[in-house]
Amino acid sequence: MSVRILPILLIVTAVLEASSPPKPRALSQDRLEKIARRDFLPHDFLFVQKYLYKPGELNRVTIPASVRRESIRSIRTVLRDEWVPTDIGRLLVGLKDVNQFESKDQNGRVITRLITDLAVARYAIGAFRIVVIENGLGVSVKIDLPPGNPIANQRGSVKALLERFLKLDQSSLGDRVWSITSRPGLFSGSVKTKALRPDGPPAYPLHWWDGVDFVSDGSFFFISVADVSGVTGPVCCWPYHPDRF
Amino acid sequence: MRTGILSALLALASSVPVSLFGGDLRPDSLSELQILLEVPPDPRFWDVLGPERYLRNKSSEIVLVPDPTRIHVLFWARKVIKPEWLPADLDQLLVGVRDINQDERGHMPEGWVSDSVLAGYEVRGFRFYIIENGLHLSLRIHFPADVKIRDDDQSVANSLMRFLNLPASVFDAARFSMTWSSPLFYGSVEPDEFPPSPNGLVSGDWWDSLSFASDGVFLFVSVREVRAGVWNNVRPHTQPRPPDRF
Repeated sequence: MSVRILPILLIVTAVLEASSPPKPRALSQDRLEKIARRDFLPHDFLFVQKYLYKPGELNRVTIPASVRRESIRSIRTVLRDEWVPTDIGRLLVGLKDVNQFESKDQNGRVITRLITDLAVARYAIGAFRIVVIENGLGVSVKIDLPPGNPIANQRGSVKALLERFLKLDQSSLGDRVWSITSRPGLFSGSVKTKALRPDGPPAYPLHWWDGVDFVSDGSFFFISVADVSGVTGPVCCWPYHPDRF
Repeated sequence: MRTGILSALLALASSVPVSLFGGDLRPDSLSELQILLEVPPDPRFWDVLGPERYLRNKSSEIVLVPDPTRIHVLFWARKVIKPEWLPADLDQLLVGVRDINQDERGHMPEGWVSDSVLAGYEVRGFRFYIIENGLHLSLRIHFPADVKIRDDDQSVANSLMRFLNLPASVFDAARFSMTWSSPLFYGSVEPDEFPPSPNGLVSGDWWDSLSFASDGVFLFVSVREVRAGVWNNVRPHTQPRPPDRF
C-alpha cells in the first residue's frame, strides 16, 4: 500500500483519553531516564515514554487560538502533508506545566527543572500510530512502526524514514554530519550541518532541517527538530520553553 | 622495512619528513582531523596527528626516552596490541618528544602539556605509529592499498579485534557511538553501563575507554591506560593531566 493513498484510508483516532496501545517496553523507565540524561536525548522523548500513557497525571488545558495556530504551522512545516490529519487543530490537546526534566543534588534538592507547556496530538494513519508534540521551540514526532517493519541502526534506514516523514529533500540531508549511538535496546543520533556538529563549537541552525535528532528501539521512530523561526543565537543560549498557556 | 632508528636520528637532527615514519594522511582527512582538534579540544583524538604535529612543534624537544618511561610504554603496547603487529625491536624504535603543548589555542586556563613517546614501523604492509602520552596509548594504522575499512559498526569492530587484545565479549553490551563527517568516521566504544561507584570513579579495564577514527584507509585507536580492578577516572572529562615524565 503506497503512502500516497494512505490519507484516503485515514483513521484518526481520539486523543489522550483513547485506549492506550501497547507500549514498547524493551527498556525499563529507569534505564531510559539514565540513558536520556547521559546521552542528552531530546526532552520530549522522555515525556512521550513516561507520561503519554498516564493521562491522569497531566494537567489538560484549552490551547489559546494563537498558540494553536502557531503549533499547527510548526507541525505542517516539518511533517509531510500525508502524515498530518486535516483536523490536526482539533486533535491538539494542551498540557500545562509538564515537568519534563529535573536533576537533583546529593541532598535531593532540585537544581534544574524543565517545565513546558505542550500541544500534543495522537492519531493513526494506516498502520502507523503517531504522536506529535509541539513545545514552543520545536516539533517532535513519535511513530510506532507497523509490526514486521523494524528500523535498523544504520544511516540508510534512518535516512529513508526521515525522508518519508519529514519535508526533507536531497539538499537538506546533503553534506551533513551523522552521529549514531547504539546500545542494547536503543539507538539514538542526529544529522546536522557541519557547523552544528555534536562535538563542535556553539552554533545556531538556519533552517529546521539543519539539526534533526532521532531515537529508536527498532519498533518506533522518534524525531525531534527545532523551530528556528526568529532564532538569532546559538542553541545553547536559547531561552527555556515559553509559558504559553 | 624498519625505519625507526633512521627516523629517530633524522628527528634528532632537524625537521622530520613524516612519511619516513608510519604513514601519511590524505589531505582531506588531515584537514578534517585538524577541524576535529580545534574547538573544543577533544582529548580522545589529541594524538591522532601526533606524528605530524609533535615532531614539527618548535616548542617541543625530541629526546631519548628514559628507562622508566620506556618500560611503561612497552608494557602498555604489549598489553593492548596483538603480538603479531608489534616489531621485536620496538624498544629501539621509541622516540621521546618533550613538552608538547596540546592546547595551542589556550582553551584550558592552566594549559595542557604532555611528554609523548612515538614509534613508527611496518608489519606485512601495514604501517603503524604508536603514540603514548602517559595517560593514553594510541595506534595509527595505515592500511595497504588493497585493504579498506568500511564505515559501519561491524567493520570497525572487526578491525579493532584484528589489531588489539580485546576480549571477544567487548562489543556484546557496548555503547557504540559513531559520527560520520566526510571523509572521516569516528567514535567510541564503552560499556553501556558502568557499575555504581563512589565519587564518580569507575572500575574498568583499558578497553572500557576506546576511541577510534578512520577515513577507510587509516585507523586511529586510542585507549586509556587503565588497570583492571583499580578505581580510575576513566571518563575523559575527569581525567588528570598527563604526567611530566622527561
